[in-house]
Amino acid sequence: MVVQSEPRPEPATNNAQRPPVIEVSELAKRYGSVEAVRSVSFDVQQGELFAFLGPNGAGKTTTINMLCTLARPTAGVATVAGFDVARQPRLVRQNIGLVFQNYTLDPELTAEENLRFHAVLYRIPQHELSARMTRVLRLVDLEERRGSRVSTFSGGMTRRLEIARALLHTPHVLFLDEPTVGLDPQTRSRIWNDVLRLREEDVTIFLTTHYLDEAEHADRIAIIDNGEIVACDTPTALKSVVGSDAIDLATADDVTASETLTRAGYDVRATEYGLRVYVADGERAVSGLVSRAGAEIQQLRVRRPSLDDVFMHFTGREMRDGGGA
Amino acid sequence: MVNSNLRETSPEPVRRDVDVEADWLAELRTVMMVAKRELLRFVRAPGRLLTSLVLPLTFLLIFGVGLNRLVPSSGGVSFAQFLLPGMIAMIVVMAGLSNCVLVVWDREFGFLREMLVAPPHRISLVIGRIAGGSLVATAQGTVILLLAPVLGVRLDLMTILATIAGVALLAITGTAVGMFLASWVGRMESFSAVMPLVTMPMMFLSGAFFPISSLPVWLSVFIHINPLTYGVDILRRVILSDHVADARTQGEFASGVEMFGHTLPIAVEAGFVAGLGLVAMAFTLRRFGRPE
Repeated sequence: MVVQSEPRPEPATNNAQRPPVIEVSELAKRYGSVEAVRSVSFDVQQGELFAFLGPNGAGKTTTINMLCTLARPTAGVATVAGFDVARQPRLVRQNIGLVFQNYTLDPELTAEENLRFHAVLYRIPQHELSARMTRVLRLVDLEERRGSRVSTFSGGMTRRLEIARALLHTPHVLFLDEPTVGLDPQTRSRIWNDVLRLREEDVTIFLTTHYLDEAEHADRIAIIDNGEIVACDTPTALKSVVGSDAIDLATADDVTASETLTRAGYDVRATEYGLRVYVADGERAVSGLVSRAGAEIQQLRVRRPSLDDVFMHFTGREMRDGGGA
Repeated sequence: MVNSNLRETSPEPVRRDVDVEADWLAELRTVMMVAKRELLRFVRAPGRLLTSLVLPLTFLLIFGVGLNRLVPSSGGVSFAQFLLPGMIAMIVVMAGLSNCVLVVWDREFGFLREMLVAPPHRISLVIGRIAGGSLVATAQGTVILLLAPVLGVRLDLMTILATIAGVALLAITGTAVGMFLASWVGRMESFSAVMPLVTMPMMFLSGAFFPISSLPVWLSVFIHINPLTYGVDILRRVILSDHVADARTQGEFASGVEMFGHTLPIAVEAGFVAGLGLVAMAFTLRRFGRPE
């Protein structure tokens, strides 16, 4: 996925002095005997792009549902824009915008009618409506289609309109739940450019995704697996935790190679395609690795650490649905 | 493409810290917007109106015109005239019920989410939907009233207004019950499958097609617990009011539902129908009211 990432704007001054816009403390959600989310805690600063990264079923959607007041926590506390999600849900809703995985537009109405409906729900004053609508439509480049029925829109256009609609009332926080799922690469790239441009507006963006290449753009990432946060930091810091390069191997006999290399002291993991060995300096380690492999090496590749490695480091597994890089 | 003027024109957020709890005017606007959307959906799908008219028109033609010669008039009322109010009641209630498939549609296709996650009270959403849905069902029922002159039914202005009021009452109750059913069903196919199970018995055991006096007890019981029975009777008494001087001359097509030997006044029947509507609305609110 090719995304033109503009140089990250200077973080808003005095960020440390502004209170966090989302504060979560030991939040949990249980459905019957199933613990979808078990005690997560984190903060999100104003103006931040915060990503929740994890495989499907990890608890991302459940967490976002609790923060959006669509589901009630069974334990813990969360505040969004200063309001408690359990006790002041309507005030929370007034201050957030959402773009869901599933489409939530009315296809029988036009783009503009959908926006008007939203405007009434979110108490936008009549006299401001027209200017706001024009502005958000321009933001996502849909101004010419404002009078068209949404049923005539492509998947990408629909998603862009949803983003525009979510911004109509200028929310404190924009929640994006897997915003580019199901879209082709060009559209994903396009939408991602729109999202990144929003950062100039000082909108806090809370994103859930299972795409590693999307999470890379975030200021901070929380990795969630099995309902728990296993790591939470900037992408750079997370990758430096892994601390090493990765060498991907495909051998004639992975089992033997794995045993031999482990006995030789290497950090070896199994992957979908073969083995992965973490070493301090990839290029230097190659020859030593090859001679000690104990099986014929068919393919070898040296990589810098990626979020996939971070995930594996913390959970012992690969992120199966990782797209892109 | 970079919009360089974004930062300058970024508007203030809308009423972030205003306590929206007491904002009844905004809630009222929400009700109106939700109702307006129902009307828009109806107007943009003329096929639905036409389809909904086919069944009652067919019944009127087949039973009314076809059987008219077989079934003798009674008390100055022909069989076709006897049928008309029942057909109107039928279409209104069925329209109210089956239009609620749109609620399931919204759930299945997501728009319901957009409404549930927004600031307004769930109450406003439910009332708005019922208001819009009732208007649509009332329109559908009133269209059949246009056939009255064709069948020789005499109507004056007061009767017409009273009929529309009765139709509106049925429309509201039908829509409320439909919403209650819709709140239980997650998928449109399920809703469409359940509908006939509800509407068929309602239709045929309501006194719309045949007089309900002097029927066997087991049939009579079903008829008396069927809310549509009272709706049909209300409309029949209003629409045929000019044709029926008093009870004694009504003959076979006597209006009125008897319970424990007494003929129920219209007000009581209207009370039953309205009561059912309110109960359905209350239970629907409970279903929609809470997040998971």
